[in-house]
Amino acid sequence: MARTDRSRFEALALPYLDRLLGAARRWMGSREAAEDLVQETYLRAWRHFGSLADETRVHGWLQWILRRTAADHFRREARRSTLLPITDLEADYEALVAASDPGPLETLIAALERARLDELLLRLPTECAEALALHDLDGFRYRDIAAITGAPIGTVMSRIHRARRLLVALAAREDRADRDGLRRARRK
Amino acid sequence: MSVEEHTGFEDRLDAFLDGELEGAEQARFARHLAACRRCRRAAALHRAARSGLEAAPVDRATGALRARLRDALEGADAMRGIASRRISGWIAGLGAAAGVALIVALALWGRGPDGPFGTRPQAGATVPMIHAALADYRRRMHGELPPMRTGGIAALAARLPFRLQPLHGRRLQLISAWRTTIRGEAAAALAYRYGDHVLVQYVVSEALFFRQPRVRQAVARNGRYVASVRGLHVLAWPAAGSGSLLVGDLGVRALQAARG
Repeated sequence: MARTDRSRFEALALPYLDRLLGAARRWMGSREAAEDLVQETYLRAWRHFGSLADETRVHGWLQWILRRTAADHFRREARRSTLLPITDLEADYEALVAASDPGPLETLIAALERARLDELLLRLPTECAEALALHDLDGFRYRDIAAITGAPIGTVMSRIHRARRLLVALAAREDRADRDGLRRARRK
Repeated sequence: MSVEEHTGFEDRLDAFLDGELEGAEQARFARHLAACRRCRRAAALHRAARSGLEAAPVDRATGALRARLRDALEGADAMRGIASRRISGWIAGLGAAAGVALIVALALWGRGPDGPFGTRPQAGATVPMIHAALADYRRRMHGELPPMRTGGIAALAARLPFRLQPLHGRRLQLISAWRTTIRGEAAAALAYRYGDHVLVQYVVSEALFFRQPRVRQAVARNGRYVASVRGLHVLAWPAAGSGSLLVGDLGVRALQAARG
């Protein structure tokens, strides 16, 4: 491919570097490993730039390549730090939505810090966290997420719904734990 | 709100919040939300979760990473021999990271993405019509292109049993045209200058074009057929009474852009 193609590739693909780095960090955990993954992704993308049919979808195409490249590196389950007690969380969630009055939980969730959000996402089932991040962090529509992940659009819908339920329940549980810890510390 | 009335709504709560439901369904959900306290509470919590994520700061790539990427891309070009004149001096200046990038590039070279975002070129040599067009292109590119005959395109068109439709891409400049045969049938070849490249449009009869099963299957699916064989690329599409094959050493995307 000619240098003009390279310039075109860089002009189209490099604006998404920050986004890819964020996605890579969610996959790999460390910043260093994420940068390696991003580099591999761009090399693959450049090699196959000629086969990109629609330049307006370059971000989705890059995310799709990154996902495949990450999957080549390790078994996805291995990255989860803890096994999530899903049944307990579902019960927590039901209690939250059954509560008669809105509490300060909405404000708390909306203001969660980035580091805390990353921790919570890492504890969700992989497919749910991925779909939610692609939507809420990267701004993809459901049909684009379906293309990136290879899942039917109905499955994307379910994953995002489940991810938000679990995220809400997790945030509430963490908040409760923080407040309990604070109370115990005051008593001492 | 009874359990029966509620069933079927909850699973679509987030699709509603994200504006992903069809118009009528979106409106139906909005009506349900007005009547269902539980869904309103859930919606408030889910909106908060979305807002938290949307407001999260984005990772920022460092200048070092950007430089490393450009080095890696440059290295990938070098390994393909395209930047051969630069390669010796460049390799001398390589750092360890870019060296690794070269190895990675080599390892990855043959494993490419296909799927929903790209049209993966097929192996065109197995399609007889494509094979014949590529053979003609290679032969012509190794010799002098025929001069334009008196009467130009009109004279060539008059000798063909189908309609000849030249390309009118903004950057295309017709430099040569000749009559040829593809699979033993009359065909026209129109050579265009496209920047520093020469592209040739082979125009064949509709019957020959659609006799190729892979081509007609691809056209039925995508409206076009694309193929790549040993550094050459083909973009084929049907027209009224004929079919065209645009051949060149540019990728499929570039051929599409050239076609206009």
